[in-house]
Amino acid sequence: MSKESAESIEKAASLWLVRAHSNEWSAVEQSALERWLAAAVEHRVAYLRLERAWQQSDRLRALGAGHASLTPPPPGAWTLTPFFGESEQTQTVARPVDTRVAPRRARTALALAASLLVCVATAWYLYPEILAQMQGAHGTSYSTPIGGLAYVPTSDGSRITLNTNSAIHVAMTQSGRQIQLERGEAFFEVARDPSRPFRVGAGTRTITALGTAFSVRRGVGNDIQVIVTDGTVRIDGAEPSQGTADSAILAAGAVAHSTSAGTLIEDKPLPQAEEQLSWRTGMLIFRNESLLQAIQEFNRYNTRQLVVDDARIGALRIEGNFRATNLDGFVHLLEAGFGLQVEPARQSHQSVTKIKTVGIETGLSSIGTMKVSAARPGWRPACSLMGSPDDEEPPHYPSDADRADCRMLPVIDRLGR
Amino acid sequence: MSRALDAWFTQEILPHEESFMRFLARVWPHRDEHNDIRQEAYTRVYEAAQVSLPQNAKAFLFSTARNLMVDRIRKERIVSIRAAGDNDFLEVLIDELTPEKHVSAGQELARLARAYDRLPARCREVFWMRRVKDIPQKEVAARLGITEKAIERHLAIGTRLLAQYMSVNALIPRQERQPHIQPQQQDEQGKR
Repeated sequence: MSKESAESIEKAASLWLVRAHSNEWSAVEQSALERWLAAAVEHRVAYLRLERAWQQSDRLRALGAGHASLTPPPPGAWTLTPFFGESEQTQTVARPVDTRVAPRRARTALALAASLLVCVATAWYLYPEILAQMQGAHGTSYSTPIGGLAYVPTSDGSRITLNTNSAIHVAMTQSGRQIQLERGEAFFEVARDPSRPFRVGAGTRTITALGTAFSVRRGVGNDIQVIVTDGTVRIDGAEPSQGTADSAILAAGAVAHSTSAGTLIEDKPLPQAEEQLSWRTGMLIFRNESLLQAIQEFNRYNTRQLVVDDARIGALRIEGNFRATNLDGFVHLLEAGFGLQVEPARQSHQSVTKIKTVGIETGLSSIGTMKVSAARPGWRPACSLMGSPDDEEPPHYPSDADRADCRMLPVIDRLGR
Repeated sequence: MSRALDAWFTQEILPHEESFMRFLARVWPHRDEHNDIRQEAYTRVYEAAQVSLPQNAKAFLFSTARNLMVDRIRKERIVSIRAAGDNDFLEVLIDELTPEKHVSAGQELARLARAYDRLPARCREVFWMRRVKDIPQKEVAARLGITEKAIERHLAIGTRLLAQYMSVNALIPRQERQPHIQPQQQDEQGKR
């Protein structure tokens, strides 16, 4: 056995690897590489290890989606899409939610929030009645445009994150904290203060929290969805006098859907519940959802709306992680991965993009058997195809190993090559 | 045959690197030897797999490492109390066998982002242009005003660091990070 050090082998392997992936790579060089690999198993394992890292770095494209610039964003700035910087409202501070990933911006936002807090606290101390008047009587409204994401620090130390196309009204008094969710969706991280209950009104319902993190989303009419990620909250109907039937206590991991008919509560593992809040980082995560559901989600974040004109297409299953504002990437995936045709609608005044059925005639059966095979070890297909529900047989994959790979997610931008 | 074996190695052994390095950190006090042990264990696993594929790849990797550590202890007569006497060391397979494959794609992406953010600035830049924006090497070299060779060196060191950062949380020692980057400075200035 040669006595090369692991480090020198690794250095050599890294240079081979990089050259093999450069634009100029000849057959002569390839055979030289083969010889080097065959010379010692040490060489081969070192090469394979770095090759895997190289292939993993392919997935940087997924992070880069939406970053148009030729230079990378500063370290930690990943969760911010360009969209978030364009906030038209002046009173909101956009902020990344995962502070580990985005320490710098978060720190700025925190500093801002802190200084705001100091101002408010000082004012509170000096002129309590003025503030009570300012805040208690009128409160403050915040809103986001379509595709926007905003962070609202409140005077009590709570934090509110507003999703796309959302509006809230915040009223802080000495006896309570009242938030009205006028439209859209918001995530609340509530500072503990038992003397002032934190209440969120949404349609006919009120959600009450003490030292808790949860989200509220408004649907059609008075339908709402509540997701709890920390502590407990109580959800009440409009008139408490009607009895307690419409009242429910939700613990962390609960996902509650309230309609006029009542409240349905799912208890999920916390990571799953949190996944539904991935919008806080600008991402949409779909797990075996129908294309129709996925499109409805996308439509919330983009002024250009997608329309499906065939129920069979809408029923296709889809999995993946996507940047909410990267509509082009998503459309590209549909075309490349599902053989669908996406065309701009005729009426130019409405920016509607239509997903047409062309190609699907031969497609539906072939979609079920379409192969998403792994071209190289470690390569991940851009999407998984779950087959349409009316397919009797499960989709066919080349091998079990590939099937396992297909269930793994995303990197839509790979298709952009 | 060797292609299939390469694929097996990449899919069944390499994904365990993070927990493998965590295991090493716990049982082998000489940190500077971790990479050597990893390399040697990988080599032994690959050699054994050429003869026949082990049933449980992860268990095989860990027991291979354990055996070679025992060899080292015997040969070098450096008896590390921690390595030799620790129950952990002999019973590695119990808590180390958590299923790796189920790390969510999101977590994987976050880990990649963190690793990428730790790269030296120039490395980050080169990786971004080459891997994310898919700009040909020649053009990247022209844009940054450095040679293609220098681009290759940045990519090479970057790949090594990514592999390291994605499996070990500890920083690579400084002096190891610098030398590859240093020589380019001259090209860069020369071209500007």
